[in-house]
Amino acid sequence: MTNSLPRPGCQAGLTLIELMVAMLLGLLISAGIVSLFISTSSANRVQTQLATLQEEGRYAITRLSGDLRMANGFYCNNEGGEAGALSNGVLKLDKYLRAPKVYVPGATLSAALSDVTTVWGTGAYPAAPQAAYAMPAFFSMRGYDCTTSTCTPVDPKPNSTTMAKTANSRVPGTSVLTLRYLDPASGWAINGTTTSVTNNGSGGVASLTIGQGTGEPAVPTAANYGGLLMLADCNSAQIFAATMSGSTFTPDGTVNFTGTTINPPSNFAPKVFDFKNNFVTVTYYLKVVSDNNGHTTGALIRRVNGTDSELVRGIERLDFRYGVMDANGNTRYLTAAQVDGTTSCPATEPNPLSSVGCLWRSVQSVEVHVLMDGQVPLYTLTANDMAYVYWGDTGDTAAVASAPSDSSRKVMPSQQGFVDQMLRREFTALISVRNYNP
Amino acid sequence: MTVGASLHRTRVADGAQVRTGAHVGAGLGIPRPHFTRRGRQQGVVLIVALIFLLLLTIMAISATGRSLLQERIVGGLASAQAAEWMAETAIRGTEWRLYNNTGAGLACYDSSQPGNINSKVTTFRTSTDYTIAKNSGAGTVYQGAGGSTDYTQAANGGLAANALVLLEYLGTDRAPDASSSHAAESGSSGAGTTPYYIYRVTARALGTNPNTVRTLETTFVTPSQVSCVAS
Repeated sequence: MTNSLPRPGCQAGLTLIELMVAMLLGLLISAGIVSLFISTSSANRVQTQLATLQEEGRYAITRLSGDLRMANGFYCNNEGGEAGALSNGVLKLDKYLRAPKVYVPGATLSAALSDVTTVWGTGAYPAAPQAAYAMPAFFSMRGYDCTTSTCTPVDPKPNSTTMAKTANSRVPGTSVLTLRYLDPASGWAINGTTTSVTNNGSGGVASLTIGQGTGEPAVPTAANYGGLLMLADCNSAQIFAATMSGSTFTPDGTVNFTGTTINPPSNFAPKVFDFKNNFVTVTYYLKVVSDNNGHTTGALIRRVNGTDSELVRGIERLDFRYGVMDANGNTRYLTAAQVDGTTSCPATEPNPLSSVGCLWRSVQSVEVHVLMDGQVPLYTLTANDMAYVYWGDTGDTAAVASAPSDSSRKVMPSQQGFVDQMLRREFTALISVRNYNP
Repeated sequence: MTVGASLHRTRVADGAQVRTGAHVGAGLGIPRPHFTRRGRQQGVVLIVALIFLLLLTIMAISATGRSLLQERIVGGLASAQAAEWMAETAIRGTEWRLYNNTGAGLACYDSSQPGNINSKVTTFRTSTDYTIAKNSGAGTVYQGAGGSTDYTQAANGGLAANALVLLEYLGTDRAPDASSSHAAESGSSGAGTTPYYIYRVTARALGTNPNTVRTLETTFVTPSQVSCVAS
């Protein structure tokens, strides 16, 4: 009886062997689960980065496409009218591109635009004109290609940034693009009721009254009015200085060229614009930003009329190629320096001041290349995971991905101050610029 | 004997009872910690397994959630692109009809005088809502160059609706310096050549999802004239 009591306890207990087998099995299973957990967790981190990368790459391309599609847009007055046959006899191309007539000195026009690198009287650019002139093509758009040390044709220094690895500098080896267009949602239609023109009795405009009609923006206030007006119809446009008094705008004889007469617009869909604010200058460049965690990454900056705004982070490289049709109807993709250096153009504005930079007005399509990274370094990545292909890097000609540190790359992440251990993907888009009328 | 035997039997029976009792007692009493220990061991494995399962599940769910979000974003983007290209197609198709002088049948309004624009046109061009634009009655449904392609069918893109196009006459083309003559283009034989007409084409399109809307406009110059309703 007394012996029989503990016996069941002894039978159910563990012997040393049992304990060791149990521990071994337990360890094996835990090790399996832990390794599964670790691999799932790192896969999850990679997945998150890939998802962010995809999303931001898509967004960057979408925003770039939206602006590039509008490049050189000028209400309806940049239509080229009747086209003439090209020398190849197959294609027809406009012989000229309409441009607004400017009645203010060159310096006043430049001052109304942001990020101007084509300065009157420097290099091949003409001296500031002293009489009314057609707005030159070199103000329409300009790209800049950069190596890690220099930029061609010039270093534009948007927002006074220079190329360096430190935060708030420009990312070394990345392109910059400045384009301009007339905001399609802006302007006041001269309908005779809300907005009207008063003639001076000698065939010129005495004053304009601007008011807000259906679907139109608010009338500028004295604080934000830019000082220049653009009076446009579908055939021509005139840019002149005007003083503001309430909602009445009077051509400013002290700024405009002496003897300027502003022609009343034709009856064909006339509209008036606040030129300085409505003609937008958009500059895209990459800025080095800190993640406050000891690392830097590139941010795509969209600079509108001199005000920077950050669109997405994680962009390392940005490159553009410009598709231009020459006088023989052949389309080629050129670098910024090639476009800039061409002075023989298939079409120009009427009575051009100069042929310098005329090809910027004839850009028909723009090819964009963007290299995105995952932003957060992943030190678990293998060499295969880190390899990537980027357009223009000679080591990738056979589309074989090479390491970030491959010396054949035009720009290596290490030259930009970025960590190698990140996922990288290239995004590309070809955008048609519809505002060039072939 | 019999008593003794019976007693013995009783004793045996008692003993059996006691043993049974002891057994039961063992279950409730002394060996209980042993049983509990065994139970705790089984529970630990279970709980450890459950914790890992929970962690993996959380990760899987968050990963799935992200993938689902991505899928929705891409779906929206695809729909937006379908709308964009439909609007572009409608614009190009309309330009083609103008270019080939087959614009008859397109609703066209004379918008050359900003002071005298049809209110339908203003509604079509300025309303943010596709349905309001459609109900304004200003646009023409665009169904391909031949007029018989239904873009709402799956084979043709499966869009939520066919695109609408609005044609507006903006005036005649003139030489750039605002002369009163007709276009005297540098490639043509001088002033007084055949008039060219300026049209504005506005296209409004929906993607595969009716919430994605795109509106595009273009200005087109052509020697062929379309009869336009005076506003």
